[in-house]
Amino acid sequence: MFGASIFLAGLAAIGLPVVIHYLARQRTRVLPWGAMAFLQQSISSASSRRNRLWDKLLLLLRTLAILFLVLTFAQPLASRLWIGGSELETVFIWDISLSTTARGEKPVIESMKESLLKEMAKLPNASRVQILLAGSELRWLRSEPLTLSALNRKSVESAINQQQADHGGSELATAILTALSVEDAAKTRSIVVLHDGRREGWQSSDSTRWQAIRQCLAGNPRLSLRSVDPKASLEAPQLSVTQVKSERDTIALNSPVRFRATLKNHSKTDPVTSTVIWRIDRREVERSNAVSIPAGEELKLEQVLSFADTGCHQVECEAQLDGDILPADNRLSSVVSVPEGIPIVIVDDTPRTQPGQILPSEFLAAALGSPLQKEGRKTPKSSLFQARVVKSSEVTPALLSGNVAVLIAQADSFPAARALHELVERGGGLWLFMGWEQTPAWADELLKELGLEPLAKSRRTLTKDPEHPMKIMPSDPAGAFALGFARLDLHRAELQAVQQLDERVYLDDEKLLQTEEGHPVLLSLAVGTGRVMLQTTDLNRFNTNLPILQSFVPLMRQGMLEAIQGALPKRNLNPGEPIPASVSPGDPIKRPDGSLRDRSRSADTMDPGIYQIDQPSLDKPELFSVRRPASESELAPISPAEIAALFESSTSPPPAAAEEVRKGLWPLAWLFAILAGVFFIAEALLAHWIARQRASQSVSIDLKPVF
Amino acid sequence: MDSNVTAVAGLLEHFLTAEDIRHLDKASFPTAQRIRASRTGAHKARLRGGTTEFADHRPYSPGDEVRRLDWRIVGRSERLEVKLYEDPSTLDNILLLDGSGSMKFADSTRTKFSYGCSVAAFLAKLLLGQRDPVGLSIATASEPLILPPKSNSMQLAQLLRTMRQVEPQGKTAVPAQIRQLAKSLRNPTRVLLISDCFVELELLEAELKMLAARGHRFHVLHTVAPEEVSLNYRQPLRFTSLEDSLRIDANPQEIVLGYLAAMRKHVDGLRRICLHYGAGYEPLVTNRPVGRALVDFIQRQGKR
Repeated sequence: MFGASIFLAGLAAIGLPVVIHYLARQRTRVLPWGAMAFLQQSISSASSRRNRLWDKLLLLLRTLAILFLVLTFAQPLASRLWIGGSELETVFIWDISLSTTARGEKPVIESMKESLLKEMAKLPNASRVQILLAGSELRWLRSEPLTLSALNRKSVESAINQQQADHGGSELATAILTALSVEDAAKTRSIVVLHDGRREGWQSSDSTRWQAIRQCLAGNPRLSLRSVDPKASLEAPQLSVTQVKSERDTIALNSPVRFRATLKNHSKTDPVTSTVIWRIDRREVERSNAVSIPAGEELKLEQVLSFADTGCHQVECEAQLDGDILPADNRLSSVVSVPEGIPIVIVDDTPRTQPGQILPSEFLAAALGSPLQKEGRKTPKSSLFQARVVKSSEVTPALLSGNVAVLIAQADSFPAARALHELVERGGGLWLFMGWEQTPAWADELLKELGLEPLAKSRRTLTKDPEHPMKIMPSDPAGAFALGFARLDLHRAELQAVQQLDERVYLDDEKLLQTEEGHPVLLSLAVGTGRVMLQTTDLNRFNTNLPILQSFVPLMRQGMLEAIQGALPKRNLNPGEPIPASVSPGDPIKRPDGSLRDRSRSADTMDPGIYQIDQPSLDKPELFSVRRPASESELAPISPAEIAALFESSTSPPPAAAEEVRKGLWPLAWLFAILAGVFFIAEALLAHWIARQRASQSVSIDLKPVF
Repeated sequence: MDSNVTAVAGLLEHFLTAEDIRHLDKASFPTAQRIRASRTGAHKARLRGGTTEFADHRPYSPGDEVRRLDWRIVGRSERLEVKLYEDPSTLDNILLLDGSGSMKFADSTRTKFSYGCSVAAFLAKLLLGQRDPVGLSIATASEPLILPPKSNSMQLAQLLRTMRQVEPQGKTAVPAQIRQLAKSLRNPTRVLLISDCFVELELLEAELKMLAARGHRFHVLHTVAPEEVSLNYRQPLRFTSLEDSLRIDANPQEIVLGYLAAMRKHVDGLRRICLHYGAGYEPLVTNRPVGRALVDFIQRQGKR
């Protein structure tokens, strides 16, 4: 490039020597000549060729002298490509989060592309560029820094134009720290943040990160940080669906399930009226028109849905609003799994001693909604669980491997303790109903096998509410059961829930562990990826009325789901949570953007949306949803002054574009001037030498007579 | 007779300057070499004034033999004239003038043909003044022109008139003309070749060889323009051939060395031929006065 390109018009003067040479030839004198043969011989002679070469060299030197003289006046500026590359490095942090799809005159993402292309156009060749995309995850547009040249600018511009916004959030402070961490002390680095003007993306409340950023900038004068602020503000109706969830991810076939959706009107002044649509697997199942939400308010909606097909289902809630500035957040999905039936085993050695006696296993099966499997009878499809009752002597490792949970209602012996341990380790559930009788020996072995540590014989307090501590104590501290439970380590127990029993449990003395108020306690202990539930009340009707209480059913169902949660794949994930490895191992994962990834990248779930795994052996794909950060729907603006306050004065003021450009360039005028002088002198010397040579050649033949 | 002299004088003025004529009066071409016949009748020796063939008259000079007086003229006109007879022991002279197009070249001087005609006129006058027979042959591309050697008083005028009528053109026909002369000349003849010799030396040598083999002698009066032996031009030129349509654009400064080398080689070849056949070679550059140049030539002939 040139600092005074107007002088390039003087390049026309390069043609002068050639034109003069040509015109001179045109005005050649015509001379009738007799000794043509000698002329012909002379033209082909070596001396003539040499003379012609000298003349051509002279012409070349004159042309080069004029060329470099003109270029000197034009002030050439060369990139530092030949001198080891530029010292200027620019890192663009480009916010491509969901909020950049907001529409002003045009989508914000498109305006940002224009700004980015303009910024890049100002950069000189040979400077290095990196583009960090701040979206659902931080990633570089290109894996390696790019040294700009005239050849690769087009490909970079094309990549920028093709880049789309994703559905994730942006964490600009994290991105800036990432950009700062790739520091090269030899480079002058400029970090430029292209953002959509939203406050949320700047993580302004994350003082730790911003402090680290300021420290980094203050300690290195070669670093600079600035932002490219969007021109348009986003003021328009904005409604979002921030949450869609069900009571659980795994539900029974044809079983009604309550789904809850949260809608939010982000406008601070204007209420909105929208149409809410519920869909199952993209098929509309419910529509509500004229759903009004006051300004700045949230609205929680409930919808009861049931599923007539097994497999995974996508439940979507959409809130339609005309003129919504950010329609991308107007719908949200949740995934539920409807299995054929979760196989569980109930171990019950209770003898039927009386007619009409309901065995504990029967109570359990009924509570879980799974009538006992008997030969020839098909399990009704409304059951989530498929229970099978066996005697303790029938329990084998093979039996356990095909089931998700084991409930030991009553067992005289339990030889398969090791297999039970393995079931729990791989995520299955174990439910022990401990009676008032002395803990059977097998229970001790089992507890030992499960690695449960001894418990001190003292009152323990388990609470998440410091103001309302709950104390758990053996009802009979001197009883044998208490001794057995002495092996339990209540420090590892968590108070999961307080199941408030409305009905009073009779026969309180049969509660082995109770609260001060006499409430029975269900202990839920994590072992491996599974859980061990310790029911401190047995189900023998002779000992307790618990099985006939209404609260027994929800207790069992909720407790059972908790017990097997390790075995059931979680369907609704947070960004970054891996897709369970047990699900269709080997099959590729289809991401929300339609791309396929292999299973080795199961943790690549930063992008919100639906992830799908197609199983060739089955006709129903596995589905998972990754939640969208609700903060991306918050379009509250941030002012340039606030951004500057984040940067503080520790950042150097952004250099002027022209100065920044010139930093990456070498001025070559001095070099060209020297070259022009060299060529002029060489031309003069050569012309003088040639003239002298030819003057010495101006002799005639000495003709001597012969006589 | 007087009119003839007047006419000849007028013709001579066309070819020779006053200075040339002054040189002419002082010059004396060496007596033509006499051929000593090895046997009688091999060559006719031409002796002045002592043979049986009448050639011409001249005024009586004291010392001339009285018996040589032509009494008829004495009786008629009371003028004392002596008879001159053919001298079979002298050589005829043929002035072979190159009439090719290249002889038209002229830049800073007059044309080579004009210069050659002056040379021929000078030599003719000189030789005829010495009663040596002189003939003329002009080598042109068209019909060759030959005037047989004679020594009468009309011969000079005839020669001069003939030269005045010729316009040089076409390619060089000198070798062919030499061949023609070699075949046609009966008596031993001295051929004075007045030419720029821009011809292949092999061809020229072959014909000169034949000429010499038949007992004739030759001298080469190499007529060249000063530009042709120096190529002293500064600007590029378009050289057009005087003999054909050839055209060459060249910068003389670029090609001068090669040109001079070629010219030098040609001249050396000419000299070698002349040396080999015992002939004389005289370079005549057209910027030198004819008289002065030929006086030097004649003097050198006397040293042979």
